[in-house]
Amino acid sequence: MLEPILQDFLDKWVYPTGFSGPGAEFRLKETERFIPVWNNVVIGALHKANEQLNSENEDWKRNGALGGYSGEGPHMSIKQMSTQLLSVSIPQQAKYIDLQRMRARQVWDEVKHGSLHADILLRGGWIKKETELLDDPRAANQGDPAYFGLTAMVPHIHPLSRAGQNYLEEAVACLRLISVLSVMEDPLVRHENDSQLLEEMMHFIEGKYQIDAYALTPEDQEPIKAVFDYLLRPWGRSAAHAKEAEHAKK
Amino acid sequence: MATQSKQAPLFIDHEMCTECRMCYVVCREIDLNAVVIAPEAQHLYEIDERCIYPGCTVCLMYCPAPGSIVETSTGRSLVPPPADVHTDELKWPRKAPKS
Amino acid sequence: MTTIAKPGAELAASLVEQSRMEALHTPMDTLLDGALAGKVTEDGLFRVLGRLWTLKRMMYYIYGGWAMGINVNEYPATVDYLFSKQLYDDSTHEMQYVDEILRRKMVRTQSRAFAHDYCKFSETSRVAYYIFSLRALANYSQNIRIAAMNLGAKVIELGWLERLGASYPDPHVRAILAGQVAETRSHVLMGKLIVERFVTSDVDATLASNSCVSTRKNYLFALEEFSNFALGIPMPEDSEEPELPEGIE
Ligand code: SF4
Ligand code: SF4
Ligand SMILES: [Fe+2]
Ligand SMILES: [Fe+2]
Repeated sequence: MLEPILQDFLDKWVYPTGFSGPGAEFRLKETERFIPVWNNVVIGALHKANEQLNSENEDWKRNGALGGYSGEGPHMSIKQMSTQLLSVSIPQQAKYIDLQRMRARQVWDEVKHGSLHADILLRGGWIKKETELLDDPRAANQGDPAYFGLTAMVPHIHPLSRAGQNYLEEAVACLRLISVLSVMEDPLVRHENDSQLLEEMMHFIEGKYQIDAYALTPEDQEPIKAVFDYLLRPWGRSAAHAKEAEHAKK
Repeated sequence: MATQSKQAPLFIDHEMCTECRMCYVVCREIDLNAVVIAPEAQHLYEIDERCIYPGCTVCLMYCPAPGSIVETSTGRSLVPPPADVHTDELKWPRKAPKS
Repeated sequence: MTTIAKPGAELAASLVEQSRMEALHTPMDTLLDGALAGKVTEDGLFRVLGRLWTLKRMMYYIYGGWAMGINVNEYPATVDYLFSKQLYDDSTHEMQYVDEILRRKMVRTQSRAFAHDYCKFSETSRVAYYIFSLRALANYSQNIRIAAMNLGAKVIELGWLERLGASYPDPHVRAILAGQVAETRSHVLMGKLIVERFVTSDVDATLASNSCVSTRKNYLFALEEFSNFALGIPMPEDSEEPELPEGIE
């Protein structure tokens, strides 16, 4: 039995396919591998949110916002996300300009998400102005450098490599947001999560679209599959997310 | 000079749309070019009369914002896509390019 | 080399003022005059839309390259916010130019537009000259790049967009250009803010000023090619590089 949040997500956003052909077939086949991971993400996120609801103090709100700022804050996002603008060579631009267009949108989105986290810190009274974060290492610390470095390296592998990260990991982001929103009533936390959700959905769907529309040959599928394989390694990002559910079960 | 007209079979509800540009990208990719950027300063995305819905439903599978693409004749939301718009026959065929 | 010992605020004001003078009449105004006199054919319009599209879609490479050179905590977040919005806006403008090419059925598909001579990126064009010069700004820090682009080329772009957006005879083209005015003006304003706040040393002020002058010249140099191409005026192959004032190399 899948978590209802995941089942709903799959039915509405994962399974409907605009294209038929090898790209969509490849995506749906690969998706089978992610379902257990995504299911655990929902379990873990619900568990964590419930824990937070019952916690004695509000440190988790501040820590969450600081972590969010370091992960997708303006400094991180401008550099991280812009790497993708360079993944398309000029002769390939006729084929792949949409990657640059979608990425231009994502750069702007992720930078805004940084400002949302800053907003939580401001509204919660933890900082007085955003520039204070320049002096707080927690707002800049990269807990998972290999993951961020992957984002920066994929343009050197294949223009479509990043689609793997967008599809698998941005779905994780969406599922977490939806899970948190399903239990949290705190207006500050709802604001932080709710205002990102549709943009994270776009980033996930961007991956879905790229695979369906462009990953039509084994040569174009292989680099995406390699990213999936990486993320599912015990030390990869998705495997780490899935571990949260293990903690939850204990 | 609004390009969005109720002549087109679909329209975008800007109360719901995040202006993410996915529908633009998709419709451009299949060379129907029915999604355009309105010239006014807000640069909203709009669907013009080049849209061949219900003959095509491709963009509906890639719009992330519930309620943002609407069937003009009925006012029905098509996002997330209801079952009748993602049948096998409606899928746009993509073949591997001949090498 | 002279040192300009000015605080950022004074520098920003003086760069905007200089650029405004240069923006009073640009090659795009020559194009406007031609259009008002009925001398811009549909093919001529395709030529200029094609060039504008080529230039704007090259900006992904420029902005991508610049963004690689902004490090965590190097500047307050304002710098990132403003830059990411500018990147997004110029992407929208790129899309609008090709939209219009397709809407007018100048070509039938986007991939044919890419292959068309009027839209191709050519290394021997002045678009390339200008784009290469912008890419070199990646060697500097963001405050200098933004001084050059946003208080140089963007001021000139704003000038011609305002005028063509008000009086270009074709209503669709006029509407597209008019619709880009607000975003382009915001780029100039954000440029002012960044120069005012983040150009703080004499050496940066001088580099910002020099880069601004040359970026402006290079932009006008490219625009001259657009307008001549649209009006069917042959470009001399041996035309000189844009001239820079004394003291700037
Ligand atoms: S339904 Fe098809 S033709 Fe209509 S806007 Fe969407 S992708 Fe374009
Ligand atoms: S895909 Fe949906 S949310 Fe995005 S611009 Fe189109 S209608 Fe709006
Ligand atoms: Fe985000
Ligand atoms: Fe995201």
